[in-house]
Amino acid sequence: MNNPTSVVPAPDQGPSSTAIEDRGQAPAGIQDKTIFGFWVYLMTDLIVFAALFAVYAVLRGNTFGGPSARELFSLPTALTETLILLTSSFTCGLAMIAVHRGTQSESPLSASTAVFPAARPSSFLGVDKAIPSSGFGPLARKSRDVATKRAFGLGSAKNQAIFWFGVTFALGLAFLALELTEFSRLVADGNSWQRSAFLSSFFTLVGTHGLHIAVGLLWMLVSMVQIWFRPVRHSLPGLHSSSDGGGDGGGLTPFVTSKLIRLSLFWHFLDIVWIFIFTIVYLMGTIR
Amino acid sequence: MNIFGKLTFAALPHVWYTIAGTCFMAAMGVGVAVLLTYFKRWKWLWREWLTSTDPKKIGIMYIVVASLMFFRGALDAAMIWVQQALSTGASRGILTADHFQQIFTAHGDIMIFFVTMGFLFGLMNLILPLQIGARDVAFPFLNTLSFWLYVAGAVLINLFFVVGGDFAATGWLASPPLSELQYNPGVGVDYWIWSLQISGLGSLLSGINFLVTILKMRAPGMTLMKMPLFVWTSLCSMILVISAFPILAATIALLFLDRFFGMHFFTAGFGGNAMMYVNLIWSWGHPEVYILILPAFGIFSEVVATFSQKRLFGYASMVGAAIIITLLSVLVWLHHFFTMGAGADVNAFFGIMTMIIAIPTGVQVFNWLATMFRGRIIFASPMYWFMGFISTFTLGGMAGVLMGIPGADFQLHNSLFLVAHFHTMIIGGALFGIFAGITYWFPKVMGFKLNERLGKYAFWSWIIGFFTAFVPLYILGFMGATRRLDHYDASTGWQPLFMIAALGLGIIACGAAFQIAQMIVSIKQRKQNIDTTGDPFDATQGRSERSRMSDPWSGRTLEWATSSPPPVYNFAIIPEVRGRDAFWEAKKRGIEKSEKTRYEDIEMPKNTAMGIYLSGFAFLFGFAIVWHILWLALLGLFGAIACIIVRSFDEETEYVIPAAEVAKIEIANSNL
Repeated sequence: MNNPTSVVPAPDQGPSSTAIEDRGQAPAGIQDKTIFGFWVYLMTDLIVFAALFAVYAVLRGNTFGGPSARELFSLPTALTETLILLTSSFTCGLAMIAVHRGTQSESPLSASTAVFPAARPSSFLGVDKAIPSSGFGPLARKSRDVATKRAFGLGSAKNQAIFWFGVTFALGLAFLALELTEFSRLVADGNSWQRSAFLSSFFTLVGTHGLHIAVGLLWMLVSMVQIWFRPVRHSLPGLHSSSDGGGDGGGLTPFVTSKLIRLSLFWHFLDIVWIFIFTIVYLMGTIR
Repeated sequence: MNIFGKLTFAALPHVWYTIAGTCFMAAMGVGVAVLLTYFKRWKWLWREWLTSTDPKKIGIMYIVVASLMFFRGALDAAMIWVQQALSTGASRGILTADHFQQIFTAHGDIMIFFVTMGFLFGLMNLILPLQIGARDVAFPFLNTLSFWLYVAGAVLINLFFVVGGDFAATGWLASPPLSELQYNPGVGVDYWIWSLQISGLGSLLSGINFLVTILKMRAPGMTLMKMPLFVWTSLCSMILVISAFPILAATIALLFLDRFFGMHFFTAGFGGNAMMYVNLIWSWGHPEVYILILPAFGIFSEVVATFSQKRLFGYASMVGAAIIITLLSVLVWLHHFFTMGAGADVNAFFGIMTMIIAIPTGVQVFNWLATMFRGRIIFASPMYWFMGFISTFTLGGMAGVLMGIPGADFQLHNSLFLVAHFHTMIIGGALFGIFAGITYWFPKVMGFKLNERLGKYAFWSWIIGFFTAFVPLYILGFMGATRRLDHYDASTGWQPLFMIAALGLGIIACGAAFQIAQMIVSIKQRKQNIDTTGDPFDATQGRSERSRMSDPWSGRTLEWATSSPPPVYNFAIIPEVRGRDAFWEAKKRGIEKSEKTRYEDIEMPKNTAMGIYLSGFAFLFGFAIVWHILWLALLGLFGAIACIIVRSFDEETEYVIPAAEVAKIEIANSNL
């Protein structure tokens, strides 16, 4: 969201230790604060879900004479949803690999090296180490391009990122569609959230997760636009996308990459929450 | 579906208090607009203040809004006092029962959410970055967004005067089933829900912001155990904010779902469980009171050290105590409802935990006293507030431990003893801390001191008024008086005590009047208050005028190392920290400001109106949902989402202050 302010002690402050242990803070990576702050937000979101899980645990027996979990839930559907979501996490991971590769070629000091120093293109999938993987010159870029195209056959990192995010998006959409089908079936049968406290808590817990997925999908759409059109210098996006940034990354600047890292964290987080939902709501509800 | 939802002309003001409230707010608004137009300050207001991302400006705005809300909350309190003093026997007082219920509900919510939290966030914005040697908070945009969400919530909680006429009449926590649609079908509870939800989101974002700021943006050399105590207690408070406010958000949302979608979380039938609400809301509510008091403890630690001219005693144990309080505060929530029937075993556990949590608080008190011991005490007004706090808070704390014993609590639960206890904690603790902090840091923020004499008069009025008002309540509680009574039998013999309490109100009002006078007089005399020669308690004698103004109290921590007020970037050169009380160490080593330093370009965040727009849409959404105006709610929702998306494309959020300009500002400040 924000580029951080740079905090640099002035050079001639007299003798001062520069050892990391002596400093009161971690070395200032570009995305350090922002990613950390996003983790903190994710933990607060987890607490919201924890409260909803607690409510579900208290209310799950309060069916008010109506049907209970075992009668209502279809495990095959839940399993399908789980597999879809897990796969979407995997494809999101593939997208992020492309992102880091693309950002890498923008500049060696980019976001991804600060946060993920292991993500170097030359070591991934055994691409020929003889090909120079650093440096800015047009020759270096061109040879990287060639290497990448050779290695993946899919094109630039930017295209790959968009492709895999697109797949993730489609899977997430499928997940939502399945969930909405399940919900409308329940409502059509008269088992809406108004029927009992148990159903209220079910719809709220699973529905809140679904709402988060929807937000994630919207975020993914916007992100794909941002990767495609590198944000230009004045607020509104690419009426004229400036020359592809030179090199493999295209729109994958540190600014965009930081957002994508956060998006992927969000997506994986939602997957983890779903595992808990699947276990506690569906499995524990139907398997006695 | 009516295009205006539930909104009709009947919602416009037609009762005396809604008419009065509307007229008053309208008059204030018109007055401000006239002043701004006359002095041609609209653009200035927008550019310099409203869209600012500078935490020093945002902090001042928080304090201004909190003061306005304080006035409203105090008015509510006055009405309660008068009603209870008059309404016995044949007399029914001046308020109807329903109106009285709305008043004590509003009083509680406003004082906790909008006054105390507003003041504390304001002080943290002003002082935290300076104390850790940083230039800004971690996320400046979130900072301004948090402030404007807070304002949106404040507007919503006042809006019922103008549109709706009804606030929640449920008590400040709106417990079901009373707050459910069946018993409270009007819009009052919905206003309650959305004003707290929106401002709660602002608080949560602030919590994340300050947490990351403290953990990631300290000056080089400032390890955790070298931070000032105010920073430590703010850190602990923010940890509680991020742990507790999500629970509040979830719980209020569930109540909303019950009311709006006909769900059954807390309803009396269909399997709902109203007791679950009480558990959930107090799981938030108890950490909340520690959120309010911990920063006040931190302020007092600073004040005691500075005005005893002695290092804080037992720094490590102070830190340990704050951490233990933080951890324990999530383990005591049931003591708010011992009588709800969890059984003796459960009650015993929570009773014991409640008594244990008094121990670290005691550690803090003894450390403060030990700091004062053999110090050279300066009796400036912040020290007065501290000493008032020590006596008051200790008494109120003991009352709390008494109620932590379940057996005793069965007698005292929801009595006036309880009311007296928590007011002692909040007024004697949080509010006195806020007053001490404002007085202590006012010269840093504004560049001149507050009038000391009026400050001391204010203090004496407050403390005498406080005891006059609340000691009768302790007694009444023992005599069996319950809280929230709008009328009582003459045969109880309670009226004289209520009248004494109302007298206390008058004395406190004098205290508030003195504070307003102090502000006015201090502004008028601001040029003179820079010179403090001749004051026998002035430890700053013999220093240059500039250093006396940037450091009027001979402070110990880093915020006093800047000019008063600090430049927009706080520190031209980020200081290198060698020990606790970083500034004190630097002064002893004789390094106040090195003359020959090379300045660098400084990046600062730009102003932005996006926080205002986002909060505007949030407000629209809240208002529309209250009145079931679906198209407007969707407009608010999509508008907010659009704002977020537009903002996410904005790469140019910072500007650069060139080194030459930094040098000019530094030279100008040193020549003051």
